[in-house]
Amino acid sequence: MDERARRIADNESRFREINERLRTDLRVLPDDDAPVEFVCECGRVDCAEPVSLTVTEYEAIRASPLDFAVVPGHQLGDVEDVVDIHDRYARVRKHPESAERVRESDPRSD
Amino acid sequence: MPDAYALLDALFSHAPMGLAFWDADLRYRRINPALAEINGVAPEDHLGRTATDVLGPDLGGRVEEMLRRVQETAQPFVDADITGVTPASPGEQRQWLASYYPVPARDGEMLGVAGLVLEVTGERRARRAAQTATALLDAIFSAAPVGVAFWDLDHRYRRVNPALAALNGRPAAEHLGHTPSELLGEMGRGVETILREVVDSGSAIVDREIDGELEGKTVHRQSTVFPVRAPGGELIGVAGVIRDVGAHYEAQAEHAQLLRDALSSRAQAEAAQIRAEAAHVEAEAARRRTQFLADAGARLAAVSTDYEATLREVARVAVPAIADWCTFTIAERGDVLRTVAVAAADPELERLAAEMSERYPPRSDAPTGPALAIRTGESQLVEEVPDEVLEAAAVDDEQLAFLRRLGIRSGITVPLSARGRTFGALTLVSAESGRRYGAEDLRLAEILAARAGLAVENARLYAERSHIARTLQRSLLPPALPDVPGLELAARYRAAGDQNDVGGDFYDVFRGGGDVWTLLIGDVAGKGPEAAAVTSLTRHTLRAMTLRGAGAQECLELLNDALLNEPAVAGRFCTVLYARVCADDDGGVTMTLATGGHLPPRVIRADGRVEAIDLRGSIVGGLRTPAFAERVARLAPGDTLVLFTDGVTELRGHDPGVGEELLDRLLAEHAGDPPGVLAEAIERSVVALQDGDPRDDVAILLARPTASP
Repeated sequence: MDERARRIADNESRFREINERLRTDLRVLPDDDAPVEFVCECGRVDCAEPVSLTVTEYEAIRASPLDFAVVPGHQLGDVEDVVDIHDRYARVRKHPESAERVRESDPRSD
Repeated sequence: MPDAYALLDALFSHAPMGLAFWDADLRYRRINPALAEINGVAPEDHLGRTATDVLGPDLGGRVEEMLRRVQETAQPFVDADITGVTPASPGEQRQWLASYYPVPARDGEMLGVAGLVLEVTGERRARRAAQTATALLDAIFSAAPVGVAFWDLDHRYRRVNPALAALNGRPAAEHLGHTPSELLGEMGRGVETILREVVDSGSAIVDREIDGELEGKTVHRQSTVFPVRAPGGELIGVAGVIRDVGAHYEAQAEHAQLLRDALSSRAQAEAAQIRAEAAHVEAEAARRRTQFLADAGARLAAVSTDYEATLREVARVAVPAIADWCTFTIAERGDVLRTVAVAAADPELERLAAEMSERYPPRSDAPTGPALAIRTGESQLVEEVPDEVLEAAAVDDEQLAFLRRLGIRSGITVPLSARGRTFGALTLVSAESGRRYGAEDLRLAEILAARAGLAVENARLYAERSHIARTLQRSLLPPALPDVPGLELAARYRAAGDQNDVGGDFYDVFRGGGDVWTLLIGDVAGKGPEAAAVTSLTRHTLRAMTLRGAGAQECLELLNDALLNEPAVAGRFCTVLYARVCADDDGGVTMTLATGGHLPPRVIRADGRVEAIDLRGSIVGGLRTPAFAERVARLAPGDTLVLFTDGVTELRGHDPGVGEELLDRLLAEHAGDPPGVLAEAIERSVVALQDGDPRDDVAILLARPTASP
């Protein structure tokens, strides 16, 4: 994994941590599964767009430590693949060379 | 009448109502146990006493009053409601229904009054309670701020308060006799589900939420429904209290959304901070790359024939900016590879790398590294260099030990190419820094290699062209000044700018036949090969014409024709000063001079005066009908003839004309100096006046009679 891929993986992991805190805080609210503006977990430094997900959709993505939620079109093809795409969000999966790094940083990992 | 007495006794003893008989004085004569119990006084304690005596002035007084009224009117007093307190229940208001009858004797005389008293306290209370409950229920139904309804067992509304009617958007009367689903559609079916549950379970349902559509609007209600039973326990219907919680829902939803937005905003702000930091890191990396390319580019841009020195400088810039060590390898003489530059951030590492390059020169057939890049023309990026790669690359254990000591972690090798030819390779290695190279680093290395390749190629071309220029320049000037009897000669030539172009100035000295010698100086317009062709044609034409005996003016005329008629130099012209000199007996020389547009030569007289020889003539090669003239001048012993081109007098940074004044002043100051000393002084002055970088070629030719005056 080169410097850029490592930097992107680390940044995306940090965005995931932020979203996990947001998810925890959302537990105090009624479970109406309304879309919430999560942080786009893409590796672009110029990204300023939130990604809109229901908690159910978010949890589905979080089920895999290799998967991240990004605004459609924000995926970086050299470090991740789009595995699912919707109107509001795309689900990307890190390439194998970054897998270990993002798995280790997953707050839900043991 | 014994039977009558017995019957009366039995009646008094067992009747469940109170019975009494008062005499004409309205004193108790007989009282049964039931009434004595009502009064709370033993039967025997009544006898002979009045009602007032027994019951007190209030209740007893009212009873006595009624008794007296019956006695006086002989009319019964039926179903009188009496309320009062008896000793039986002190402090408790009780109710009785009393009837009093006159008891006359056979003769009509009034014997007394009989009374019948029924305790009705419980019934009255029950009736009042029922009335109160009904009123209360009415009040609740009417004034309750929440909806209240009563349904029968068929789920039909039997009672609806105004609040519920308002919630449902229909008058209360429209509800009666209908089921909720008949009135409210889907919403009503939800209500009926609850009613059914209550009927089936016989238990209340508390705060059950019902959501649904009602007349196009989403409504949220909360219902508490409970069974209604008759006093005997029989289920007779269901009652419910219904609240509209829509506003609560909206407020709750709004609050949730606000909180959601706030949490999201906080998350976005945290992310923005991270992205800002990442952007800063990337910008800094980009700045370092740009700075590196600028530094390397500055070194590569320097025009030099010594590309190895240039590559050594570039390698030095590369560490530690983008590598822990950097090498340039060049393919020479076919397939021989040579490491021409090695630089490392750590001096010890550099020493090791250089030592290894020396002991293990790169092999052209090596399977990896520079050899592979040069063979294939393709870049190699090895993000991580495991020990197996080192083992494969090493030719023996000693080299393997070298490689391990270098601590190689990651590497890039990029070919150096230009004009479709690959002739070398750039190698970047990461070691102690732990840097892992990636695609961005490879791109940077390729940019650097492209520039380096171009610089190497340019250096090669520059060297080649310089060599050609120097060779050609030498052919246009006499290799050495000839020995001319009676004359001391000196010449200087300095080409302007780099050494890549052939200059346009020239001079020549040759024997013209017998003791006659010819001195030439000239300036061809422009530089480069075309100017060199004109110079060559001019020199050789003038030589040939001179040798054929042509005069000074005639030589210039023939040269003019030659230049105009030679297609290879068409459009090019030159200036020429032609001087034919012949030694005189007195040690001086006589000169026949002709000019083709050239600057007037100077003569430094023996006494120090400086004279310009006035000559006029057209430039050569510029006109079909030029005007040339010749004149004769003389150099006495001690005089010096100074021929020069305009590079001596047209000085960068000085006004036109100033140069000639400065020259004349210099010549006067150096009067008496030997020609060689004077020529050097002129050149030095010209260079100094233009900060070491003359704008034009400089040619100087000096001649002085050798005889002493």
